[in-house]
Amino acid sequence: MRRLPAWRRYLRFWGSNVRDDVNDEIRFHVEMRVAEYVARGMSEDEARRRAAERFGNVDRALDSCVDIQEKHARAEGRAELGSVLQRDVLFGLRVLRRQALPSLVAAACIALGIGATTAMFTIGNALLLRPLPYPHGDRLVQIGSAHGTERRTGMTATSLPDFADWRSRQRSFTDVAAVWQQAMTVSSGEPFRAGGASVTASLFQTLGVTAEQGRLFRDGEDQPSAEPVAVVTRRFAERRLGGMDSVIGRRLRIAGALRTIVGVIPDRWAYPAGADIFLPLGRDPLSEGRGSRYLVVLAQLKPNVSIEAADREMSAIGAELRREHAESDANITPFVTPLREVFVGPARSGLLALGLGTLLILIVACANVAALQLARASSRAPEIAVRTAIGAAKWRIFNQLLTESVLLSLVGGVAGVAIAFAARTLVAKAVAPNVPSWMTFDIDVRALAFAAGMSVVAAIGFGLAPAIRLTRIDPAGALHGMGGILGIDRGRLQRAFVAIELALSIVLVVGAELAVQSVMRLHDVPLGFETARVTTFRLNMQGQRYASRGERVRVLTMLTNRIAALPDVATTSATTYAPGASCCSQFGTVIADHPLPPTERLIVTGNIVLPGFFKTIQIPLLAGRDFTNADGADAPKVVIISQTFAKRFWPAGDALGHLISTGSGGMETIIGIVGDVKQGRVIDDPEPQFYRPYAQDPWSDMDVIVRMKSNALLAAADVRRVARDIDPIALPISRVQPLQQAIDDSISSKQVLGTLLAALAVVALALATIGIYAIMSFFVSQRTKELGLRMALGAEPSGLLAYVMRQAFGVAVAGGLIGLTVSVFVAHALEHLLFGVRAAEPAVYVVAAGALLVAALIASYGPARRAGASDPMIALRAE
Amino acid sequence: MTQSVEVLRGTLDLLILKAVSWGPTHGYGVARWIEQATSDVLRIEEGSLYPALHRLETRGWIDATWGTSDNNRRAKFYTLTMKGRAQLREETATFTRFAHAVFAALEAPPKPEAAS
Repeated sequence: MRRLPAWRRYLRFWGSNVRDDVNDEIRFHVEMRVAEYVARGMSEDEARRRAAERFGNVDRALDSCVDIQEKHARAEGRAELGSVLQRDVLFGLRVLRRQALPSLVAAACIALGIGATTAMFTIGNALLLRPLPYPHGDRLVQIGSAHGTERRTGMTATSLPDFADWRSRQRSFTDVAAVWQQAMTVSSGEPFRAGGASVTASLFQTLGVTAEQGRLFRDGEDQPSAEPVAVVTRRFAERRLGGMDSVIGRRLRIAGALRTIVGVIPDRWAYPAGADIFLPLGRDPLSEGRGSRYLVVLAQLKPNVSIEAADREMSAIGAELRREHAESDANITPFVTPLREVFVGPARSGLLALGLGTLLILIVACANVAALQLARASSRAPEIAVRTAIGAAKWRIFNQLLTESVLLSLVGGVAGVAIAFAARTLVAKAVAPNVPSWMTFDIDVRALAFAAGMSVVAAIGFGLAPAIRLTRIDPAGALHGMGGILGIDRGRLQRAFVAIELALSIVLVVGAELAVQSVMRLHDVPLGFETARVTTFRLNMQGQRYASRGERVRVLTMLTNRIAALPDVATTSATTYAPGASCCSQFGTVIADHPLPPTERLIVTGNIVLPGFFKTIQIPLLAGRDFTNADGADAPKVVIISQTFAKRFWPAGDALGHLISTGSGGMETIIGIVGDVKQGRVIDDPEPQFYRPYAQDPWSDMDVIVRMKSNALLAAADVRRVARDIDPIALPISRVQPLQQAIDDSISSKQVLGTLLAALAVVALALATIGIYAIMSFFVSQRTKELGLRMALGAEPSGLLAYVMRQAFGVAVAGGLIGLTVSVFVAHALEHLLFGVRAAEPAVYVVAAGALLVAALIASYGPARRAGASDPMIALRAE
Repeated sequence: MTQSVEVLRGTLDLLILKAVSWGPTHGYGVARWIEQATSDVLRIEEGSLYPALHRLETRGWIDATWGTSDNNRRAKFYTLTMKGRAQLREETATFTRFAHAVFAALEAPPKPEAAS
């Protein structure tokens, strides 16, 4: 038999010619049969007929042959693909195991990068991507009242008359609801406080939720005359009312009135998220002041109305109200924001900072692994060269190398998900400390997909350069000698990677430094009062007994006196809101000497305090006198103002004796000036503040301040016992805690953010150090010959050491300069997030550069010493 | 022409393997060899010969190459592979045992119990 010429077989190589082949084969058979019959003496026609008859159905034979071949080809293709992949994976695993330590380091780098980004992703996912738990969550909006032109900041609460007008005039929303969030006292057995809200009957319709049991509020049930009813959450029913069975119809004393529970809603639908009890608002818009703003307004957009259109409509309604009610609404503009924004808004800066930080870490990790892989490539070169020389296809080697990277990356990715799982709570605390309970930071399918995607992207990111580099190896050169295997640039690419890494590390270090400094300055901010040995707790006097002002004064005075008599207690007092962490009551204020145009209204933060408050919390009295027990209900009304208040309106320093009105119902005489305090957030600038005596305006909810003689903590049990002795039913105590703790809590999220950024910076520096180490080791191993020659020619070991160190510092300086330049821009972009820190603080950059140089020094010293210790003979023999 | 017998299902594979065991053979050659080797007693159904060849090829028992036949025509030649040779041995043994058993049964004396 002779073989077919090659070109004919090649023709058959392409496309599916199976059918042609089988056809040829069968035709050949028939022709042979015809020839046989003719040879036996048949006529041509007769032979042809008999041969066809003999063969039977040609088409069926043809079809079944083609079928067999095609099925086989498909199975073969699958098997081949599978086996190629399997071979690559097995070989990759072997390579990774053979170089266990470098592989482990590389996988750890990736794990850090993936872990950090995935943890960040879970937060962003929850805040930005996962739907709100309400049926039409994407159509829910909040309508705020902006004061002046500045929107979305400051006070955004709305008054009941404004709300009623908005509701009747708007056309953009299916429904509008108002919520007044309050803590409520529940008196059944030992009184306790629970989160709650007084709401319009429209709230649940607006949210689009239904009752799990019973019913929700009916229209009109929020009128003052309606029967007292309540809706509670499931968790409240289960924890406080002994289960779901007997809840509906139960009567409970809530916020001083006996109410019937008519419905239960699932926990995730509670709005605000912390509320467990919902009462009808029960207030009449006609009897309320338009300037009394305390309601949060929610609305559901109609399906075809955009936020922008709704915002325009609300602005127009606001303009109407400004004209109609100039005395109260002159400065008020309603504005519409998506409900999601309520959660995302405060988290945005943290999301941005940490998102950027983790992304940098991932890039640093990838650059690092790329540098490590390139260094390892030097040891892989002979193997690759051999495989190329014996005919391995380039794409097979390329695939093999990329498979290794993907394997490495997946191992890193799995570890990264574990890191993300552990870190997400911490990250959540830094970015979004106050989120509702339904907003959980789970590692869901999306997060896993993200991690997997990042792993593959990372694998390509760090695997491509080494793979391309190794595939380009010239087998002849590589097998000849190690010297020139990686081409002419001798690791220039690696050095570029490490320089990038260093640059990004610097950016992170600078960012972290700024954040940490900002946190430290927060701690150092003078508060204007002394927190040491001070404990506070909240007291609520609710119900019939405390309807009388005299009784409130009597009970609070009695309580503070009895607590003052406890062992170890130095002094006690009380204020409406303890300074430092909780903001605050604000009052429309009129100053007799400074009449304002009717379009403007002065709003001042004020507290109602017991005598002895300034002494207890150690706010200095700068002029005039403190309150005394003589400043009673019937005595002339008096007020004490803060230094900033006094300076702003009486710059000459003669504030004492002037008259102001801060909402007590008359004019008050200024009798004293005290130092400024940080009432709300620590980062706020000092603002005008005033204090009025409790006896002249007795509030029912007060923070009691207790200063101890020693560092011992005030026992909550003692406080509760005192309260129970006075009133066993309706005098609940809550939040017994050191004052400092409340302040720490208020800045803890910034602190955690700073700590996390610092941790990221440390990780980045460590990665960069490993990177420098890797390239310097590579540098030295590549230059064994050169170093040996230098040594043979009389170079000192110390000279060689310095030579290698210089190389390392070249990279460090290049990376450092780039990094410092980028940091300046980044710092400027982030400046507004920082407290008390300027972007252009030279010390910050000096420290970052110093840290970098130290890292370079540590990383290059080992390889450099090896260079210094190189033996000229061994070095020269190496090639 | 003598009365010919259709090849039993399942024995076709065995006969094909035997046919190609002498060297590269095309499909017509296989058919002719079987006819000649059995003195035209066994006639294979040609329509099922080719699917059988292709099936054996995909199982790796025979190999196929394109070449030119004695009369200089393009033809597909089949050869026995190592795997096919082992298969041929095994199937030959099995069939021989089977055939002997059938013969033994056919030529056995009448059942004693049945006689009495």
